[in-house]
Amino acid sequence: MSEEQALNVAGVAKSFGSLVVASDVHLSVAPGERRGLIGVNGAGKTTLFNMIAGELRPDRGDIYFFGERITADSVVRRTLKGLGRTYQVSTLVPAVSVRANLALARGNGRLPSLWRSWRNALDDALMETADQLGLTPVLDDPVSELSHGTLRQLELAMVLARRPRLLLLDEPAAGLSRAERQGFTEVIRGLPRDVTMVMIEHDMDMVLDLSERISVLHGGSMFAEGTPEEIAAHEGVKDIYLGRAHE
Amino acid sequence: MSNERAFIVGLVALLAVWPLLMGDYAVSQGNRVLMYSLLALSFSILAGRLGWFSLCQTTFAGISGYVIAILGVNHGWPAGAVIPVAIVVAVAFAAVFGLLTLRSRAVSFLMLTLALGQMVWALSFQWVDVTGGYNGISGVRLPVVLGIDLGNDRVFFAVLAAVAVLIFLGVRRLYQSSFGLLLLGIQDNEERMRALGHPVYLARFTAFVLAGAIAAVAGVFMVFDMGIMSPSPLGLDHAVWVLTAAVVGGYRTLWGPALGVVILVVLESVVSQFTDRHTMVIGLVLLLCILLMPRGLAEVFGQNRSRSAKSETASS
Repeated sequence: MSEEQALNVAGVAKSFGSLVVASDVHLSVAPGERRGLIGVNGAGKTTLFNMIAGELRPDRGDIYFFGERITADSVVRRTLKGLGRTYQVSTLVPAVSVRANLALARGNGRLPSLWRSWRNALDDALMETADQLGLTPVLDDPVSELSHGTLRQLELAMVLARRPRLLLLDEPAAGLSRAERQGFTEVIRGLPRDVTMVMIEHDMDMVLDLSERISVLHGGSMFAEGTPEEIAAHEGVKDIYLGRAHE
Repeated sequence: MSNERAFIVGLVALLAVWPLLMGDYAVSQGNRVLMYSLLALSFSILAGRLGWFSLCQTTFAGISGYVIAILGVNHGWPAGAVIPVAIVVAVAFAAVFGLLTLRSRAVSFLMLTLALGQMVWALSFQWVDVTGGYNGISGVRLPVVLGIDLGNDRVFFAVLAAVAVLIFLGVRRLYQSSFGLLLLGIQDNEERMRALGHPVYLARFTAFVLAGAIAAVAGVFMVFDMGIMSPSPLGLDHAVWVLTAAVVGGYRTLWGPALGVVILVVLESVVSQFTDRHTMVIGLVLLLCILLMPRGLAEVFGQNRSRSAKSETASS
């Protein structure tokens, strides 16, 4: 069953003491699909991302990546298999330049050179990715001096530079201006089809625009799933977003 | 020529003429500065790049010193054989300590290194049959090679200066390397570095062992300089002295720790000429230094953390 899926989350559960953050969550994403993952704050979206990326171990259930069980794999192993993610809050190295951050983008699971300059890690493909995201003018600027929008672009450039097979985007447009969102939407729309994408986003226009299917998490469980049109018309989803909680 | 390269050329020139132009006391103090600069550099690799404040770098220096004293004096091994063995043994200890502290953070790392360092210090006191206990092992001397007395203060200075310059330049290169950049990344966000495919624990372990190796080299010179190995250099006061020097000078920079050592050694020499209470006076001066320049003297030269890290990682 999981063979043809890029991602298959099978009955995953996670609790912190008595607090249940994920309960029997199932999620199947086809190769090349653009999937939106929505839910109110505290629904368990980022927790699910953390379990898929390996930063959190599920208490129960399994995670399959292109048919391969990765539940017990480390973060590094999952990354090397082609899983890439961005974070809700920018997690870059603020003291150094955009160029230096880009040089960190492509770890290969081995210790990097203790002698060769980090500049050797920058190749044409990496610079091209940076250029596509509009980072060329700020390559030598310290990350600590970048605007929020440019930080998000750098976050995305760093993960795209790895040519991931599955891309997990955690609120990529949070805090962006309308113009920046439009630019961001175009970049994501332009991703090649060999990149499967799952995106958490609160901007419903963006989610409806970019996603082919949408999954709705609520209270740590998968509440609904369907096409953007189905989800937009789903009474239960409307209730959740309007505050009429479905338990 | 960049400012830093001009500084390096000037520094090498100064070190070259120092033993030729200066008196015995200045040469002896120069030796002290160079040895402790290596220890402070060893400390700052961990503190400045990983945010790890270690109190056991002097322990690795002490271990290499004891190996030289035990094998060289008690067992008659030649200096050419004991020196590499001493470094290997100290590095092996660094590897074990590195594994034990690998998953610790900030305060827990500091406390673990304190505990491990104090264990070795206590062992050096109590294992009297091997270490000589409180009295230590005396009679550690460098040989005469091809008619050159390596134990002569000026010759010793020349060799030590050459080794210290090579090590500092090696660390400068390391800071500019992909590995050096990764260490900064790990300090800021280790989870992110994992998500980018980097082996965080291996990088940390490597940095710890490298820092231990530099401390071990410092220990080789220290034992030959003192001519005796006793528990004293393994004590907490030495570890804190090194930490203080690195903090005063600026542990986030390459040259800051050495600058801190120069300041402390000069302060001790000058103040002790005027008062017996020199420790108190030095303490007050250091207190002011740290209050006014919490990032170290490097800040006075306009190098805040981001600038220094940027220039050291960017200038290649």
